[in-house]
Amino acid sequence: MNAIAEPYNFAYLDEQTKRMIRRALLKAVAIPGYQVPFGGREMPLPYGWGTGGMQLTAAILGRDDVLKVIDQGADDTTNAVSIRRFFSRTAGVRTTVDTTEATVIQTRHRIPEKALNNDQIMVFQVPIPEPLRFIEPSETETKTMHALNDYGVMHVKLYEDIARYGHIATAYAYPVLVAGRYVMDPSPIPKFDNPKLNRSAALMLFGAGREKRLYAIPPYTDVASLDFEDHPFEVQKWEHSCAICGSTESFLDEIITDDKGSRQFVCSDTDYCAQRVAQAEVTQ
Amino acid sequence: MYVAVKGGETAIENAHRLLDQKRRGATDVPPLSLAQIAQQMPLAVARVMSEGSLYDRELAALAIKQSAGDLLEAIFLLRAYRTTLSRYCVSRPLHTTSMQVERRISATYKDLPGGQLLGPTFDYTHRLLDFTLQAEGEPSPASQQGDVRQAQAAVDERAATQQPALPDALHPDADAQADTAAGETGQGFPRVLGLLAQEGLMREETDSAQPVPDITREPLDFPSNRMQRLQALARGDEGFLLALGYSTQRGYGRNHPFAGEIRIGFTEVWLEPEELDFAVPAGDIEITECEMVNQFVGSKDQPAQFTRGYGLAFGYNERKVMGMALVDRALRAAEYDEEITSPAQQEEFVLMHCDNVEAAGFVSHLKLPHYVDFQAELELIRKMRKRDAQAGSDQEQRQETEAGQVPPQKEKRA
Amino acid sequence: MTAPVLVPAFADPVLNAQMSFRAALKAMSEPGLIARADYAEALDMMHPATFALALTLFDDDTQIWLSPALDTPMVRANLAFHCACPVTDEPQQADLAIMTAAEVDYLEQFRRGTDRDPELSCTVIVQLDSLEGGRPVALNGPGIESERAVTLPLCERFWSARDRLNDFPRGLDFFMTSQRQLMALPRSTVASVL
Repeated sequence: MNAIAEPYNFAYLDEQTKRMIRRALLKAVAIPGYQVPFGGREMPLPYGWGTGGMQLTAAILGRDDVLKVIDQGADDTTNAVSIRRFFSRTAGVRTTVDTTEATVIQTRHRIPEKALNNDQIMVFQVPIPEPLRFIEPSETETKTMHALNDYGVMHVKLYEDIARYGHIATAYAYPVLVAGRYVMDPSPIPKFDNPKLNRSAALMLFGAGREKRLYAIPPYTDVASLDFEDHPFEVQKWEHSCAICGSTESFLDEIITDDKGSRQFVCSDTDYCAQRVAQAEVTQ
Repeated sequence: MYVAVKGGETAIENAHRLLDQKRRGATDVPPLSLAQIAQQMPLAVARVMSEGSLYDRELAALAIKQSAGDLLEAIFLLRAYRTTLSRYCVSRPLHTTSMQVERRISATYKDLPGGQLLGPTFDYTHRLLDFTLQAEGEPSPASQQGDVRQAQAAVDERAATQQPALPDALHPDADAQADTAAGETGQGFPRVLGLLAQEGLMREETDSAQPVPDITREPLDFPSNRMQRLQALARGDEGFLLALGYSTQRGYGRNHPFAGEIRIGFTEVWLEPEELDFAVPAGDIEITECEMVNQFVGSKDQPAQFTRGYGLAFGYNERKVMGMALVDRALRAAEYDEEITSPAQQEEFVLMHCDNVEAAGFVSHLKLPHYVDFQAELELIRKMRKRDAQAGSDQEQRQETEAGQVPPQKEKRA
Repeated sequence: MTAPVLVPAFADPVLNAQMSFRAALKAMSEPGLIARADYAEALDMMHPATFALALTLFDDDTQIWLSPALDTPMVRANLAFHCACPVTDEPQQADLAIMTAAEVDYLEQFRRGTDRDPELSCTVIVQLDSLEGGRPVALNGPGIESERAVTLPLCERFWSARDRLNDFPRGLDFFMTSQRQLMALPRSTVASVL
């Protein structure tokens, strides 16, 4: 465990802010999928760069936690490195790249390929928490829609997609229905990851720092991606497998390898990929 | 075989080293001191304190130095520091009427008690680059020491004869005396809008006696109240408010503004801690205040009265408070049954986008990797194009078949 | 008259508050699960788990209501000292409330939130002699893998009151505390008395 280098409170936030967030989290968990307003603070990273996720992580993190931070599925992307270092300095907690070792995983835009267990908490960074925002810009209006359980505008939008494109034209931040009541934005994870939300063993927490909303999905909760009977929800598929580990099951990143546009595909989840390679080496 | 890209941590460390170099510039040039910034860039310091929402000149100077002159970055630094400070007291409302006035003007009257005190202002300078400043010598003859002292003496003399005596701080009736001083309109620099109110021509603002919310602790909700709006505007981006204010002047929610009063100077901050029965002064701060006189309202039953917009900022910060006052009034459209037709009048639009720390953060976040979502979009667009191309060629085949020019073939599956 | 005795709070305020919160979060996200909350000692009539929850969640932003069974000068003095939380006499003003199992009649006075702002409801801490030994009740809903049976020593009147007051998303959220243990019952849980 690293020594805490700076004269800040454990995990940076003061206790009053932590209490405020903790109370909001308890309400969020009691009302799955509902966006609870919270008094979000300025953090040392800019709004839009994960302050919501960080405030939630700071509020829940303890001395004995093991923290993993990923961005686009990778531990080594610059912002994931930056956030991991932040908590290493301000909380002195052990950090890891190994999904199975982590007790708290803060993520931007992906859910790990490896299924999570009941002792793990996922914290999602959310840019725009309101699933209806791009259909209806006014917060006053969308609050009313959620209150009345009136998601007509969303169904119309999805139907219009089908009319225009032949299918639903949303590839990420694909809206879901939580516990049969609230329509929720799962953060900009690719729709490929949506099924992982359904009845997960882990607790899922979502933090939007700039918009000052947080929400939650308890473990073992029904989460259904919105669709129509004649246009059921589908996940992405690739014709390729991972150029490093050979997986045909994971979400793949496209890498351009020369200026003629040659391309390769590799696992977005770098830990999953590395573990597969390690395992293959062991069995050889 | 493809090998995954690594090295994010090292890249960041190197980036920080390069930034240190960029910030320092040529090392044969003397480094800036915080005192130089605080003393010689007071208007930059004022902006950073206002939008950073923290009155501390030295910290603002530090933030400006650390951010290499990027004022929005400096504002962000101050806000992030503010987050860590504990809150132990709320001051009493500032009595700007008893301000030690450095500058005070009104566009609504030619002359008035206290007079038009220009103070140090850019207003009547000719915008000609002063190359004597470039030579790093003393400024041009117009502002030689002797003249400055004469001008200041004239200001001081006038101020001394007209300022009310400030109450003795430790006297138990300090409160009452402060209130009385504020209520007096006959001496010093009486409030212009107070003079109009004396005639019954100005809508009075009444204290709602509601607890003052703190938008940094409880997020804004809509519809908002004026207390929340003023807080958001005080912290809001000067450029954004300037543009919105400008838009009202050009007809996007016109409200006929006159600059009733602008005053700049030092005002005392009074605290009333729980342990004491009386208020004590904590020190004084330089602030800029603007009250606009706006479109009058009234009806057959209610006599017509002018309305107002209000702006307040830390330090010497005139453009900001003027923009703020224009937008404050525009956002009161609903209160005065005015039709809401323009952006400056729409509270959600204004209040959700006026914070430049939020705006800069979200705009700049587009620099973060988005390749997973982009990959999802690529997959979708390729699928759609493939399907449309397929449908297109199926269509062609069907047409050719119908025309009898090509023997019938098995239909390809889309 | 002697002044009320001040008891020590958390030995490590930062660490113990976090650990107590994790227990509360686990409990609320998995209704019916019993979690340990033993980082505080008893405070007068308040069990250690009850006091731990208070130290974790109460502060000058929360209005607290104490039921007659728990409203003693010693409790008030310690809450004022350790939490600085305002204590209200009106149950409908409470953000958090503490009561015992017998005081079921107060439930209908607590705020249950609105459809627009359901989070504005009261969180009710019910202190019990034990978390087991009562009539079995089956719990279903978010946080429960299949079904979970609990045997909280709560009368039928409690369950019917809760059922009556629950109208998702409006409703009360409960913590059940006893000695050094706690359990939670969010409004999302469907309870059927077996």
